[in-house]
Amino acid sequence: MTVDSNNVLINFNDIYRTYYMGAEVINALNGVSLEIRKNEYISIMGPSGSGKSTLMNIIGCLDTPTAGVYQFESQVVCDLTGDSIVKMNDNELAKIRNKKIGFVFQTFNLLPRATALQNVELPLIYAGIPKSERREKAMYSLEKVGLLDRATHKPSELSGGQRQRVAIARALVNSPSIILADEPTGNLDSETSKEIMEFLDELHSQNNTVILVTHEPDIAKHAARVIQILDGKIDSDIRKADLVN
Amino acid sequence: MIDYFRSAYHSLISHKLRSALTILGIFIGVWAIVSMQSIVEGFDNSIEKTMAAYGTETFFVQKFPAIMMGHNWRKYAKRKDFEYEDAYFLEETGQYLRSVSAYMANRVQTIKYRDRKTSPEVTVVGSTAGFFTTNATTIATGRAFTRQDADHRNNVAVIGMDVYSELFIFEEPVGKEISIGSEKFTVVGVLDPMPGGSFESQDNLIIIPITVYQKFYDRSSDSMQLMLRANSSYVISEAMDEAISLLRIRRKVPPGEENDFELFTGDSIIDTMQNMTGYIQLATLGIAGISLIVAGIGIMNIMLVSVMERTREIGTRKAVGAKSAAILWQFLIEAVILSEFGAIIGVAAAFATAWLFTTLVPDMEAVIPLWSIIAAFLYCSFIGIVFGFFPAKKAAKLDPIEALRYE
Ligand SMILES: Nc1ncnc2c1ncn2[C@@H]1O[C@H](COP(=O)(O)OP(=O)(O)OP(=O)(O)O)[C@@H](O)[C@H]1O
Ligand SMILES: [Mg+2]
Repeated sequence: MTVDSNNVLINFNDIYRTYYMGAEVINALNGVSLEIRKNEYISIMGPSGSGKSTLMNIIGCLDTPTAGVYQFESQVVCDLTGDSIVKMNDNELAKIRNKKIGFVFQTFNLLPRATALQNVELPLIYAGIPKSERREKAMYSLEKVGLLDRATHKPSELSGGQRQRVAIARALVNSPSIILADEPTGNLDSETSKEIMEFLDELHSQNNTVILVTHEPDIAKHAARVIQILDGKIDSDIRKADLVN
Repeated sequence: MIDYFRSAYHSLISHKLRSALTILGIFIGVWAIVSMQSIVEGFDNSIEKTMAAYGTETFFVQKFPAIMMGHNWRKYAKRKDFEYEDAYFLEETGQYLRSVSAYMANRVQTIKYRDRKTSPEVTVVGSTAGFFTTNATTIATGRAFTRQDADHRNNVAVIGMDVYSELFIFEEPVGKEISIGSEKFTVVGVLDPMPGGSFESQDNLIIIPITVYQKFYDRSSDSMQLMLRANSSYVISEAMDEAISLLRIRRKVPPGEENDFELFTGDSIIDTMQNMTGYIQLATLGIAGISLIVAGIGIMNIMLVSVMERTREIGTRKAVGAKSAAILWQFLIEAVILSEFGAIIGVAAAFATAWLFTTLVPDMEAVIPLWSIIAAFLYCSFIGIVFGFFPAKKAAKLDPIEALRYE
């Protein structure tokens, strides 16, 4: 336990995310407890509306829970159990997103008017890294996804798969602790999906922690651990090793 | 910080037409303020220089006010005309008046001598013999014309230095016959160059007896002016009081009634002028100030649209770690750049306008005062900040998840 606790990246303890829509109460997350270690490769599956994206957003500090305790690398992001409410403020959350999290979205979310290189540089700008170093890191990151020759292209001049690779390069550029990919292949055909999944596999093999949301069992298979979500709760949490055993 | 500017610049460039329309209001406002200031300033300067040339001992009398405001032209036109003999009367009777001359000069002409001619811009002055003392001019060669010349309507002329150098090179001018239009005149003297700070040369003139001037050029005496010179600048107010009472007697103005003539000094003209231009200045400042506020509202409007259009971009920026303050700055700087850009073109257009005025209007040098440029830029920054703040705050406060989900 003591040895392992050093390796724990994310710790969820009875996390709720509740929306109040007039009289209606929606528990997008309904008591989730979860531990994610360094260098894990996890798929999250579940029907539409089950709370997968909500979970990802909370892990990625884009959203905050309405109840429960969330620790990230043993820092308390929020503790809403006791009488005393502990919560990081917006700037602290932004800093975690900037330094520790790499997001990959289904819809890519690249800045349309910026070049591939400028898009990859974006997190570094907010990290306050000087320009020359920024260039260098962004180029290196683009090289990793094989798009160095497209550095000056705008997103509109790139294919869907290339756009997603730029997004992955952007997610990687700050050497984050974890990469969160919410249906990264949702907008891509199966051929391109395969290509993207190869990148994610490779990232994992280079000691990155990767969490992936997907509807497709084929894609989920890439991960060593598959978590099923149903109605805001963890339905099952299976490691490949367990399956083999 | 530089990155904020760069990104703001790029986003404005990518909406060229929209940005251009937005800054139109700023541009017009700044242009109006700055060019108006320069014209007013140029006007004031030119009046001041022209008037300063007359010194502090001289003052003027005529039917019409020096500067006419309003529409009561008729009232002044009905007043009795001045006669050149009034100048003789005042000079002889006035104790504080060193000299008095009558004066008419509404005409420019080409002067010819044999096969030579001057530019068509020589001012023809009709005056009395007193001209030379009231203007404190001296004769370089020959003589001034006399009262007899005026009384006998002799076709004699005293020419200014510029006319002299244009017509006579190695020749003695005195006694030569020159022509103004179809009339022949004998040159009796040449004036020394006149002191004076005006832009225009004071020496491009020809002086003929006022009686002759009236005979050939202007029978009406509407525009006749008396120029009076006090014994010294210390007694100028006594001299003016004396001139008023002597003229009231001569023109039979009943006691208690207001003067049927106007009296002014160079200083009083400058004052009236500057008062008037001050009002113009204030009015343009007010109008342009309001137009800039309206332009500011335009900026706010366009920034709100821009924030809405770029909701996803804002979400993306926040997702990769932009703090709210960073987003606030981004949009605020964009608004300020937008308005400053308008200010830059406005100032540039004002420079063009000032240049145009300086070239087209003689005697006028429209200079753009530095303070007006600084004020324009400061005011536009202020407008950008004030009207950019609300949209920028709105952008900064967006929830990242909702922003990312925005269609
Ligand atoms: N802003 C919100 N206000 C109200 N309810 C919300 C809001 N965001 C999410 N929900 C609800 O929370 C639940 C979980 O949503 P979530 O987006 O996490 O689902 P998901 O598992 O990602 O679905 P999908 O597979 O379609 O992406 C849904 O029932 C949704 O309606
Ligand atoms: Mg989802």
